[in-house]
Amino acid sequence: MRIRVKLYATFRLNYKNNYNVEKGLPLALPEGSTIHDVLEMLQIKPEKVSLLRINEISTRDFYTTVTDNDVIDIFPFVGGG
Amino acid sequence: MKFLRVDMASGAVKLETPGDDYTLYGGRALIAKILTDEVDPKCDPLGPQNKLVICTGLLAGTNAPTAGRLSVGGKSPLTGTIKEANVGGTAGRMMSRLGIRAIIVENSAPGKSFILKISDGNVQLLPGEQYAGLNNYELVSRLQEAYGAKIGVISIGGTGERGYRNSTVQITNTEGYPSRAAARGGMGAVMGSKGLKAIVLEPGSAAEVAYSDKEKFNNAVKSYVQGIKDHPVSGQALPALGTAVLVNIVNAMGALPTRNFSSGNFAGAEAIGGENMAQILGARGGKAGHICQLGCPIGCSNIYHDENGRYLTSGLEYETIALNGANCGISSLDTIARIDRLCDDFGLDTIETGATIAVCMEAGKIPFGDDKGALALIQEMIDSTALGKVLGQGTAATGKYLGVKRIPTVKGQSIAGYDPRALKGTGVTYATSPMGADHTCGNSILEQNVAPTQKEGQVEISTHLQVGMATFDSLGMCIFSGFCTADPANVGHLLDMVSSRFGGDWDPNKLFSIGINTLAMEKQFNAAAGIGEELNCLPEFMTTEPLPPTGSVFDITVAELNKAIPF
Repeated sequence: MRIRVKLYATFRLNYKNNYNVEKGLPLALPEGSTIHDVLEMLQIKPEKVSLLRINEISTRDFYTTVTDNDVIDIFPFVGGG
Repeated sequence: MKFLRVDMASGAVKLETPGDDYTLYGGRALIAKILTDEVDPKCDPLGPQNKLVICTGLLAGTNAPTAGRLSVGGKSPLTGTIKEANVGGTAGRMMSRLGIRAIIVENSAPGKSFILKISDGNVQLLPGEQYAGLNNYELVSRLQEAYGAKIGVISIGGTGERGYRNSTVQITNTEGYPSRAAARGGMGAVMGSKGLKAIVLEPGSAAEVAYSDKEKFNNAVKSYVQGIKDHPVSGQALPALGTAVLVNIVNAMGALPTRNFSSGNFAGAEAIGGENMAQILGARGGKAGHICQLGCPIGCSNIYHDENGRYLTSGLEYETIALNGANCGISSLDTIARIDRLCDDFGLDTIETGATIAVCMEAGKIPFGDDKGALALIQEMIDSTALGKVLGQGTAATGKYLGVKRIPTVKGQSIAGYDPRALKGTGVTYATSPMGADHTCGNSILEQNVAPTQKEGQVEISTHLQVGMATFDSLGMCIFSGFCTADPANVGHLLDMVSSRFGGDWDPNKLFSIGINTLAMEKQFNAAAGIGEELNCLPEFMTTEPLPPTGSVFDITVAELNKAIPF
C-alpha cells in the first residue's frame, strides 16, 4: 500500500530539499499499518504531534489503520501570531 | 525608574519619582493605573484630555529574557475603550537604560510637530516642523542623520498626523528600521493629536536597577531562558519559521480568515506559509531567526528581501499574512511583504488594514485576489483621497460607508488571524477583552484538551489566557516567552525573578493577580466610558453563518461570554 505524508513546520525542515511540497512524502507500507507505524517510520514521537489529519479529517486516534492512497497531514506544536 | 511628564501645551518637561504605590505597576498594568488615576474615561480620545502613555514593564532594565517590550496606551480613538498596544524593538530597553519607566504625554499642540529628545540627564522638546508629513522610514533615516545611527526612535507616519483611527506608533528594530508596530487601536492618532512626531532616545549609560537578591535573579534568568529554549514552540518552531509557521496549521483547522471571513480554508495557504517564507528568505539573502530586541532567546522576527535581494521589510508576521493574504484572497508573499512595508512606513495597523481591504473587496471596489488593487487602496490612505480617508478610519467605518453587511469587528476593532467560529477560545477573547478584538489578549491556538470548535470550556480557557497575557504584558516580557510556563518549574523560575528583583513572598496567585487587577481596572475604565458588557459580542454573521469547511458557527451566547474575566 502507498500513502503520502505531508509534513509541516519543523517536521518538514528535517527533509531540507528532499521534500516535495505538492506531493508530500511518498511511503510504502504493509497492509494493516496504523498512523502509529507511520510516525515510527518517520521517527516522530506521538507526543510531538499537535494536529493529525487523514484525507483532511482530523483524528487523535494514532491507532487508526491507514488505507491505500491516503494523504496524512502531520503538524508539530506551533504558536505565535 | 522615573516618570517623564511632557506637557505639549506649555512645552514643559518634568522628571518625576513615582510614589511607592506605583512600584509594582509596569507595562499594561501601569497604563491602566495611570489612565484610571488621571484620565476622564469619557474624554475625546483625540482631544487634550486624553493622555498618551509609553512605558516599560516591571522587569525592564534587567537581563530577564524579552523584558524590553514597550507598552503604548491611552483611550483608543478606534474602540473608545482603554488601549494598550504592545511592541518589541529597541525603545523599551533604551528607555530603561535612560532610567525612565514611563513617558506621559499630556495636553496637545494642535497642528504642531515636536521631537522629544531624551539623553542621559537631559530631556528636550524640540521644534520639528522639518519632519512634519514624513513617513516613518524617511523620518527615522533623517533623525539618524541628525542624532546618530545608534538612537532608538518612537514615531508616527503621516497617518498619525491625520488622525487616522487605524494608525500605529512605530518603533525601531535592532537594525534601526521603524519596523515594529504598537499597532492596534489608533495610538498613532493619539500621538499625532498631541503634536508629537517622534521620540528620540540616545544610548544611555544603563541606569542602576535595584535587586533584592541579584545572584538569585541571575540564576532564575538562566533557568528560565533554558525553559524558553526547551519548549518546542519558542525553542524550535518560532526561531526557524517565525509566526508565519501558523498559516498551514490554522488553515488545516479551518480557521484561516479567507475572503472577508467567508471561509476558514485558503487554497493558496502553502504559498504564504512560514515554510515557503523560510525558502524565500534563504534564497534572497534575507534572515530568519532575527531578534527584534537585544537578548531575545527566541528570534521570531525576520528580514525579508525583494526579488532583487534588496531589503523590503522586517518582521513579516502571521497576522499580516492572514489578513492581507488569505483574507484578501492574495497568495503572493511578495505582495504581502510590500503591504507590510507600506503599513510600517505610513503607520498603519496591518491587521486593521487587511480587514479593511477585504471589506472593500466584498463591496466590489476591487476583486478578491487583486494584488495591485490592494496596494493601490493602501496608497490612497497616504494620498488622502476621499476613499483613503475613510479607509484610514478602519474596517467598521469602511464597511458602513460601503454598505457591507459582514463587518468583522468587535468594539470597532477588526478581528485578527483566527476565525472565531473555528477557534472558539480566541473568539471568547475577541468578544470580552477590554481591548476589542485582539488575539494577543488570549489566543487559544495551543490549547490541546478542548476541541477548537467545541462550545464548552472555552470561557474558562479564555479567562485563564487573558489573565496570563495581561500579566506578561505588565512584566514587560514577550508573551512568546510565556509558552514554557505550561511547565510549573518555569513558573517557579519566573516567580524567583520577580521576588529577587522586588523582594517579598511571591506565589502564582500573587503573580497572576497583576493580570487580574489590570483586567479589572480596564473593565472599570470602559464601563465609565460607556462601553459595558452589552458590547461583548461577535459580529452577528459569525453566529448565524456556518464557516466552511468545518460548518461551525459561534454559538457561545452573550450571557455565557459575560462569565469570562469576572473581575
